[in-house]
Amino acid sequence: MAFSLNSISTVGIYEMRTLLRSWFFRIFAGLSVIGIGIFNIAANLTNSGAPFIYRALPASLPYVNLLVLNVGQAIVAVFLASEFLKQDRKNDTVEVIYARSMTNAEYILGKTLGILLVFFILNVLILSIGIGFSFLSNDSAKGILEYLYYPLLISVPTLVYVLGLSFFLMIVTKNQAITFIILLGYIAASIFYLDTRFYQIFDFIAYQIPMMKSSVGGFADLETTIIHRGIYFFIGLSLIFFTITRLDRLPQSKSFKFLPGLISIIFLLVGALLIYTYLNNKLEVINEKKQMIGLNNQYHSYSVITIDSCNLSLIHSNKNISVKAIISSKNNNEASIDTLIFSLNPGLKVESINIDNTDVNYVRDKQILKIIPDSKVLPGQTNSIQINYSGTINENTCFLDQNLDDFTDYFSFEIFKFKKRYAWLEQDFVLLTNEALWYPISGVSFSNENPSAYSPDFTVYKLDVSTKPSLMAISQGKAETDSTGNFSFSPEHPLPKISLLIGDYEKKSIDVDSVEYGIYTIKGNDYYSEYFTDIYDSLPGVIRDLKNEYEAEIGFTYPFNRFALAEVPVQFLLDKHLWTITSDAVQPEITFYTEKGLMMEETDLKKRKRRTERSMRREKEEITPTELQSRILKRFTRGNFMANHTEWYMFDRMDRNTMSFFPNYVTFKTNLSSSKWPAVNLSLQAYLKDRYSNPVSNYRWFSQDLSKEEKINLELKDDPLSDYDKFWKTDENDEDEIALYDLILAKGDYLFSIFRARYGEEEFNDFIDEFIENNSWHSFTLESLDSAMRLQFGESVLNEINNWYYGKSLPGFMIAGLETYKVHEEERTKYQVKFKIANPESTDGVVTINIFLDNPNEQNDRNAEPDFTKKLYIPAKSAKDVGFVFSTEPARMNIYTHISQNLPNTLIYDFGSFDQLRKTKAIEGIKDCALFDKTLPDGEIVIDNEDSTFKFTFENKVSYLKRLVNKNMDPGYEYSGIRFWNPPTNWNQVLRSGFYGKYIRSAAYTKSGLDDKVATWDAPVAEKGYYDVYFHTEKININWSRSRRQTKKSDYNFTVYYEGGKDELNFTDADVENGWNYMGTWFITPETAKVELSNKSVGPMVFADAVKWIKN
Amino acid sequence: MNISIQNLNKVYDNGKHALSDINLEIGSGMFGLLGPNGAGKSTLMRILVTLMKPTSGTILINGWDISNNRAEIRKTLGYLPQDFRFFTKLKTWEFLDYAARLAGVKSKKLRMEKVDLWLEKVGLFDVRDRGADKLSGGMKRRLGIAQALIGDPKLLVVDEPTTGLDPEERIRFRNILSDISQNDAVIILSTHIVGDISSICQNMTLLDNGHLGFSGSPENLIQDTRGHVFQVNVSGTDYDELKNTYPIISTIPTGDGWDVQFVADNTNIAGVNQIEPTLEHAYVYFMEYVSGNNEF
Repeated sequence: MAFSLNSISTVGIYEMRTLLRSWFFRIFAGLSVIGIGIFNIAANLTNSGAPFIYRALPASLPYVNLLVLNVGQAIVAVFLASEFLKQDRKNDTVEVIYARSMTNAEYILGKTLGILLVFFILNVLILSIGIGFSFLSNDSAKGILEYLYYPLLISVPTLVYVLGLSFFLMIVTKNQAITFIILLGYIAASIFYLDTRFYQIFDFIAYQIPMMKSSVGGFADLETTIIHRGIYFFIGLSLIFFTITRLDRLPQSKSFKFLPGLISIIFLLVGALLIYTYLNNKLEVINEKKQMIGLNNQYHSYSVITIDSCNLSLIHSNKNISVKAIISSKNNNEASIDTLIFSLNPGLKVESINIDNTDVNYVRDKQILKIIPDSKVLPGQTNSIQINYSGTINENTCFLDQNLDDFTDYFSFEIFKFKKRYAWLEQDFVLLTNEALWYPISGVSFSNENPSAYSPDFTVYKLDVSTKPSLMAISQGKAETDSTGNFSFSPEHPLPKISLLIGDYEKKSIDVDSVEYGIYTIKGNDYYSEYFTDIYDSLPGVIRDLKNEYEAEIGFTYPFNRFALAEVPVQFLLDKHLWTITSDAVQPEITFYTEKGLMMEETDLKKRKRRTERSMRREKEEITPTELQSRILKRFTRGNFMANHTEWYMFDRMDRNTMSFFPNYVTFKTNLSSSKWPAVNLSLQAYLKDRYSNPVSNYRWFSQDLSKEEKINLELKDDPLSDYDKFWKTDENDEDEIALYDLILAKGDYLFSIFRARYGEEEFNDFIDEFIENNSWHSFTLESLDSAMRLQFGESVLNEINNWYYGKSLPGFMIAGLETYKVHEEERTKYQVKFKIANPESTDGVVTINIFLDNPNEQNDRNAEPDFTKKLYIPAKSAKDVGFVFSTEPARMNIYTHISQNLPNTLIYDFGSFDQLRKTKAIEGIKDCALFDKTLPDGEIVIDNEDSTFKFTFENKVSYLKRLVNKNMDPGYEYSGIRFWNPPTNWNQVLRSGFYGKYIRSAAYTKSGLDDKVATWDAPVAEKGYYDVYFHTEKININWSRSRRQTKKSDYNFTVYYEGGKDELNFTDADVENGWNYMGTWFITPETAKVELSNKSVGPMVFADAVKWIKN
Repeated sequence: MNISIQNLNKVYDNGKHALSDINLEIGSGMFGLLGPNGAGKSTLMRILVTLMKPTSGTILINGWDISNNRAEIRKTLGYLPQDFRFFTKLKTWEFLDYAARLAGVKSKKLRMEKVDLWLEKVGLFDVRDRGADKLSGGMKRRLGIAQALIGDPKLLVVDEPTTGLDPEERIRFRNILSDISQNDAVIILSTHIVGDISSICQNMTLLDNGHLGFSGSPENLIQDTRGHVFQVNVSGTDYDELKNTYPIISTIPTGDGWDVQFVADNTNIAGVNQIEPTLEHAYVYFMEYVSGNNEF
């Protein structure tokens, strides 16, 4: 035998004993146990504020504990591994060990084993903490197997790799310090730089590899995880065996010298094979998706039949389904069809097809199923097509509209990484949506030649399911079942899609006003019932209230006979397609909620209960269990299903539309199809969903960067929507980048908001409601909508929609003559707000004017609802005279400019006080007035920081390290927030309502310095003469630091040039006012019309906004 | 058990000839390696315990070629190196247990008995739980002896074993080695303490600058020296002249000068007496006159 286990274990045990006595290790272990122990206590205590996920899933604690530990233990392992080789060189006693009869392999493997044993003990300790606390906690998920999986997947491969690499580097460098430094750098680089690059192949620490395990569906992709971890395990082993060949000890014999070398090479080859397999699998997914998109592109323009009804008989057995689909189809085209194009999952093998009981030929190419009927299908012809197929599901067909150039197949939540899953077809769990193409659909799915196109058939489905008797099937429609695993579903209406869940579910339901409300929970996962024990009697009332509330909010009525929530594995993907505002979790009648409500808000019911109780106590309300539970349920429902999508949501890359009820009211009931302007469908949805809500921001943080809406404005100013729709690929990983989805949503809402403002709010909304009601349960075209609008409002909007889609012109708004004063009317004091607003651009625009009355309690409340709101339609090249009168003194006004050229897109005006009393009549109303396109009188020359003659000194001083790290980083948008804690050393552009600008109210700012950075305004003065010179600014003083410079208010040092010289002027903070500040009068010639601002200031930063010259 | 060394050479990477053409037969019993520092003793021992490869030559240990049968040879080995000071964090008994396990003593009970036995034998039982790195220099030496012997080696190689031991310990150690040598074992003892060899070694060899100078019994070496060891009483300048002419073995002050022992091929100094040589005299005489290193 090549290796003696006795020798290996002997060396290992004594190495372990030695290391356990190492203070370095003891301190690390102690700190780890204390740190992770405290974290585990906090994670298991609801009042600690720890996210619910730590208690909700059995995998959470072992996963997070080992992730946290793994970085530390990798570093310590480097030290311990290099230390043993160093000690071997130093300790003369090692010679007596070397003289013993054992192979070098036994010795090195023994040493390796010893180090691994030490970490094994630490891992056991850390995991025991997790097990202990989770079992002590009443409401924490409990599991045992997870505590075996994660050490094997996280710790073992990392440690083996780090040990091997450390040994190897010690042999190469023969220096522990160098080895330590190199490996520390490597660990840091893998975490902070290499992290997700090349599909996480460099992630030996396992920080980025998705490996969250679901208690419903298990690991999402265990095979890939094992391959990835196997790479590091085998390369580590290879390096360890290489070390054996290089050990400074004579081998037992020649064969023992070559055997480790051979094994090292074999392990290296295994590692290389796994790398190849891993990368190849990833690339295969991308390639296959590209091929599928290519096929969809090839066939997307083909005429297709409409599926009127579809009867599916499905048998679920093991990890397969066998289906008989009987389709009633009709050719609704004006031409005959000789080839019928269907899409069906490529994992499902077609066994036979017949049309009207006659077998026909067919061709399969991945997801495409081409049926060649014996004769052409004539216009209006109906057929019965039977397709028999069976097999499994290839998930590559799902979500083809993901960005394949930067493909990510995972998502993050907290520290955890989840592999994205779209479908499950397991022995005990099935999740199939139409995304998985588990039943044939007519035509193709996503085509990147027309990415936002979506035109589903509204089909009468019937589904019969046969599965294991112990499992429950869930789908749309009225369900009938026997006790032998047979289910039958009959939806009452034609639907655009159906879904199928099969699992070990239990159902709870209640009927309210002829609608069945249900919740399907995987057995063992009902953690919520105990929080709603007293609500049963009042539950119908609560549900009715919520339903009425939502329907009043959106103006539609729920059209189905049932609504259910159904639990699905936590890895289920909640991304969105371009053609819908919600995720694939929202299906007709059924909304999937990810395991225990993770990825949703307010599902930590224990925490919510405590907070609600506290809040009720604070408000001195009587706390009854019924009321408490009713509030919890309402808050959960409103937060997740009813809220406006612009509200902040706690999850990355999701918004409050993700799980919205809305599609059940509109999207699953009708659909706007347009091949020419495909984005209009999503636009209509976006408008309808939030048409009665008011996106408002009444405050702008100093540090706030560009808002999403402002970025959208910038993007749409550059290119028309059609270009983005066709060519733009979003970077899903870049939080700064605006997704096409957001562009369509914003510009779509703008389009219909214009119609609403133009035709009247009530008139337009009533019209659209009636139109949708008349087009229920089938798609309608934009042309039919336009015809109806022509009838109702007397004009076609197709040209306008065409410009909206293909043009890039945006409205721009200018405000002038803002006045606030008091008037007496009927012996009462009234408060007048008056201003002019113009849209000099060639595109119609709409603004929302929000006015907040003086309420000291709401001054700093960003989310305070305005006391007065007015949506104002301002056609192209027009202006309005606006007057509002209030009985209470208004405090401030903001004007939200929607899609426009304005930056910031919300103009905020603090009114101060209404001191002036005018003896005039109050002016209430909106009137047309003369168009203006500047806010200053003629003869005034203004140079703004946005103008081309404004210049500033710029120093390109970026450290090598920063350049290296940021090599591929996009410089991002031109404007940023004010980094008052660390102002930039170069001039940067910032936005504030108080700065000067036609549409873009911005200034350049920089950290104050030693007069080494200058901003210069050059004016195109045509003739010499005496000029009054002014500068414009908004005073920004933020006292945040105790340092002397930070607490001092900025002063401004200007240099004004004139004929024959220059004057240097200093303006202290007390000298400066918001707006224009007079600097002096000078004789200025065209050559000398220049003002400079130095960065020298006693304050922390200076702002360069605008300068104006007025000829005397 | 026997060792046959033929034409053994060791040349280091820096070109230094540490051993030159060594031929030696070593049988059971105690065998002494005597020589000055740098003579090649440690090199020879490190080669014998398979820590170092010879440049050329053959060594057969009990018929096993040292280049091809290291596994078998190591099973028979016990080794105590010259330097034995730095330990990892193991307790005294653990270090012995570790050595015993590696020597193939698998039974835990037997191993514990052996550990305790050897701790007793080397006088470390009272400090068995003390960290090995916390032992005094002498204690470490004794621990080194114990670890070398705990596996009942058939070939025991000890390099300067009694350095740092007090006389009582040294005697105890010699007795231990004597006991072992009764069991068909080869014990190779490298030392420059001549007394160690004279009291226990049946055979010995003298190494000088990598060359084999003498090989035989200590008595033979002494016999070869007979007639070359002298004693004389000198004073003043005579002593200085004597010191510059002959290797001095000992100098004992007397009332009118010094009684001086020295070795020489011949001498015509007046008043000298021939005395009976000891192994120490023989070693000095051999190194100075026989191996051709006479610098006087």
